[in-house]
Amino acid sequence: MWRRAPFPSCWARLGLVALLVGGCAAKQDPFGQQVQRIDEVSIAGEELFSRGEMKRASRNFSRALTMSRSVDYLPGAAQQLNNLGAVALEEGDYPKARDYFTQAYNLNQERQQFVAASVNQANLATVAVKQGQAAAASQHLVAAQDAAQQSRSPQSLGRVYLQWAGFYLDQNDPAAAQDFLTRAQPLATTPELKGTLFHHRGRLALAQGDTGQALEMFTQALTIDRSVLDRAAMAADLFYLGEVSQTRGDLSPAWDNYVRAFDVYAGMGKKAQLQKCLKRLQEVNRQGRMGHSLERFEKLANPNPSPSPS
Amino acid sequence: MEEGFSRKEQLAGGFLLVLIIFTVVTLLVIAQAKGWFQTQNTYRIKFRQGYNLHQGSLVKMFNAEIGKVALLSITQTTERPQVEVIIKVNQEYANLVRQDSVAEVVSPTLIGSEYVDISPGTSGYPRIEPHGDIPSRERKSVTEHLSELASEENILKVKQMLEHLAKFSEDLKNDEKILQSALKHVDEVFVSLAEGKGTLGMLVMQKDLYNRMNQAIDHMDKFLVEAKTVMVDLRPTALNLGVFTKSINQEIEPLKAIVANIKAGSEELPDFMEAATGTARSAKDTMDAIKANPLIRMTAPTGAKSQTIHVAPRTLP
Repeated sequence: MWRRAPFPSCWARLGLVALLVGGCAAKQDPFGQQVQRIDEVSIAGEELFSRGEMKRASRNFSRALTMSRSVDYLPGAAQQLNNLGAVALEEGDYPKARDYFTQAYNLNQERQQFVAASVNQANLATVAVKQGQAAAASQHLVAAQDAAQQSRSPQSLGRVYLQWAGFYLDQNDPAAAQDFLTRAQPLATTPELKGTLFHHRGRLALAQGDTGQALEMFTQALTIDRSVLDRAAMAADLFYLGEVSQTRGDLSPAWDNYVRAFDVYAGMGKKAQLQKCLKRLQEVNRQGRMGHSLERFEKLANPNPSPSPS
Repeated sequence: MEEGFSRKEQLAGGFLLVLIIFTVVTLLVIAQAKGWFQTQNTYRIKFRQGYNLHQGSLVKMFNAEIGKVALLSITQTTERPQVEVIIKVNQEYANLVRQDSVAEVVSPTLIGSEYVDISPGTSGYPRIEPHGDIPSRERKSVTEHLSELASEENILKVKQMLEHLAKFSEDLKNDEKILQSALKHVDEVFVSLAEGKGTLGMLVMQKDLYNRMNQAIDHMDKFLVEAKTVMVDLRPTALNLGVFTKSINQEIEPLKAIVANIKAGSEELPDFMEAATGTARSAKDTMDAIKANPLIRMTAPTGAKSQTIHVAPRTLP
């Protein structure tokens, strides 16, 4: 005797039909597929960039740039040019970074992509700051602000205001920094911007001598930056937490925070920041007479120390 | 009257005829030998002087006679008087007298008289026609040779050479003194050695060293004997080594087979990789197709989107 096979229920049959109809509704989109591939390559590059693997990130961005150009995908080309500039900036090749950012800005400006154009100008401002050209940096920030206003994107404007705040904090102008942080407050809606906002508030509080407020702000910034895995931001938060603790005379937490900052920077291969962390560790170790061994930190910060003169 | 010659007259006439015939034959033989019947070409050569040439002087080529000087005369047609020498060259050599031939008067060193030497022409140049001019080269006189030899430059060179000679002899004198003193020292050293003075003297003259050397050689002999013994002992070990090498070779054989297998496998690897890539690509295409379904797209989680990186440095103090 044959048993009757179980037949799908009415709802299941309806679902299958819907899926089939939906499948028929899907259109073939070769250009869209290519753009998606470019996106995938670029995302992989961004991941490598955030890990500090600049060589591999540069390879990915270059590949994505070639792919974008080959299918005449101009927004992709502009994006990859900007990202290649970011790699050059991290590697300390400022003229190359400036060149890439300018190329990206020109492309975005032509196509009226103001959000991206604002980012390009903000990056150019960072290049100028790194080269010690404060006047040029402020000009680029003005251009970034204009582009952000044209884009009518609150996040874009908030990003520029936060960069202004950072710029004035570097210039030891707390009043101007306070002004821009107030303006940025309602615009900082994304986790990245919130983390930056808290970080700069912490710096402002530290500059004003309010270590309690600074500690709270940096802790909040660290929590947010960790949630989005912004390693560079996390390391900076930890470093400032160490500084706040050191200022307050809490040398043990200061040591711990500096060690954590050191390890994150070591993972990213940032030599200059490692040196700064090592210096602070030596200070805290000496001040607190902790007697910690600094060998591990010295080895990582100075992988090839020059032979000491006999 | 009886006509005709008498017997005596006939005899005298016959004798005269024979004499004439003999003379003519003799003359012909001499002329043949002298080359009087040879055809000759006439050429003209001009020299600044006659160089003691005279009629009948020889004309030579390759140091062989090819003709003779026929006539010498002084001409005053140009601004400077010249000696015109007319020569006759045997016709058989005329084809060697060409435009690049040069006539020169050669003086023998001690014995003999001057002759005209003509250099043979090359085939690339045309012949000089009879009664044509052969280019000439003036012979240098002894005084000209002397003046050339005694030129200022040569005198200077000789002077320098003499100076160098003087310096060389001076140096030799000094070296002689040094050599003498060195020899004196060597002599003293040998005297010291002979007396057994100094380290070397002691080494050479004392028997101790000789004895020690003898002892050392004895030791060496013993050592060699021992080495021979050791070598004999080593022979079986070396034989064992051969067996060991053989066993290693045997072990290597399977290894070689394994490597060959790996190599064959690696040759297939690209095909395998290609197949795997193709499969992965088709799987991705399938996934893309599924994702393209609006119903699935609506419910699927939104993937990350690439973004323009904003490098906002959080500067450290």
